[in-house]
Amino acid sequence: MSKTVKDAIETIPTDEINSISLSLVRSEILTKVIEYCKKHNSAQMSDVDLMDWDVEFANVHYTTLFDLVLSANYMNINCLLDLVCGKIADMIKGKTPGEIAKLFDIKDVSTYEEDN
Amino acid sequence: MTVMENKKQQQEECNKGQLKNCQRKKTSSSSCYSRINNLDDGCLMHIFSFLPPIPDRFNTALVCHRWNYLACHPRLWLRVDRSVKDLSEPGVFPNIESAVSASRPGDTILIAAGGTHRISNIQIKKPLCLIGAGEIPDDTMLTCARGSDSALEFLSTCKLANLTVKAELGCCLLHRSGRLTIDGCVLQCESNPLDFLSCPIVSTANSSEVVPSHIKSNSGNGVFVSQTRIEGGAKAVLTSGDLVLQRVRVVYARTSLLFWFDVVQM
Repeated sequence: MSKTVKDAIETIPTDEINSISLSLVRSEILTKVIEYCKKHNSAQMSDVDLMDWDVEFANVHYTTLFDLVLSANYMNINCLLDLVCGKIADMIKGKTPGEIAKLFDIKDVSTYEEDN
Repeated sequence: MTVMENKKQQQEECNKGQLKNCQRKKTSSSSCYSRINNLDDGCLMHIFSFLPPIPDRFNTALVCHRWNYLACHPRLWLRVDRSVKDLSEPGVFPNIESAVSASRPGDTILIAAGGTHRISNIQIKKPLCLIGAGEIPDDTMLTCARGSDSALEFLSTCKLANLTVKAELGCCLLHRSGRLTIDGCVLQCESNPLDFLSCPIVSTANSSEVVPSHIKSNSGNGVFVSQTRIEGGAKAVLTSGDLVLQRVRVVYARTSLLFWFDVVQM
């Protein structure tokens, strides 16, 4: 599922593989990513159940979501990336710029609105 | 892997993107949770691509400088800005015709507010979305001079939002086929026109034969107008095909009339 891991496995000679370094991924996030991959690789659940599971999986604090985005991007897992980005987009939908800045605690020097 | 080491590495990862206008402050607080601006450009733009252009993606452009740069990036939409001097900047065009010809089907074209964009007989044959960048539709004015049949001619499913289209003679919008959505716009025509020449919306489209008329479907030609001010012209809509006006609602505001109606097959 992860292209990065797949590429790493393919390029390193097999007898030398002991560990693959994923330096950008924290252990808690890696646990979640592994949970996601395991669930999606097992063919047991129906599509609808899988979607429900995905919704539950993505129902976390937004800081975890950002870590997941970075990890999914680094590990090149497209379906996880789409799931988490979609969830963040849902959080942005329907809000004014001020509300978005407040929600994500964006402390920029000045907003574009003020400048213009 | 401690949290601080991790954050530093993430910051380095983020510096890949080109950030012209951004003044990113390093989070010196001891908070151990990541911030949305720690995401690199590609990730943020991927998130923005899930948002509909109005109002959400537009709002994200107003949040901060970095988001403004990313949300206005040509990968997401094209911009028309009459005052643009540097024609080498990708995604920004000096006029609407060039933006329309450079666009790909499904693109959104954001038209800068202020001043008047002169247009005439622009044919739009691919699905596009034209949006005015102002706060109110009156901020973005598209004017069509005498001598043109229409300002914009639509042969494909398109959407217009937050724009003012003014036709000095002739019609504002000529609808040939496809589903045209007009949302929150202002259409202005001659106040005392010769009847057959000047109407804000002219539709020559016919009902499509394939779809049985008793099925309310999303296919089939039509014009769907909502919250739009229509001024001047003998009639709001002139149909020379066989589409008809349905579901008309009018709100009498203090200085203008707001319309909602559909022009669809029976």
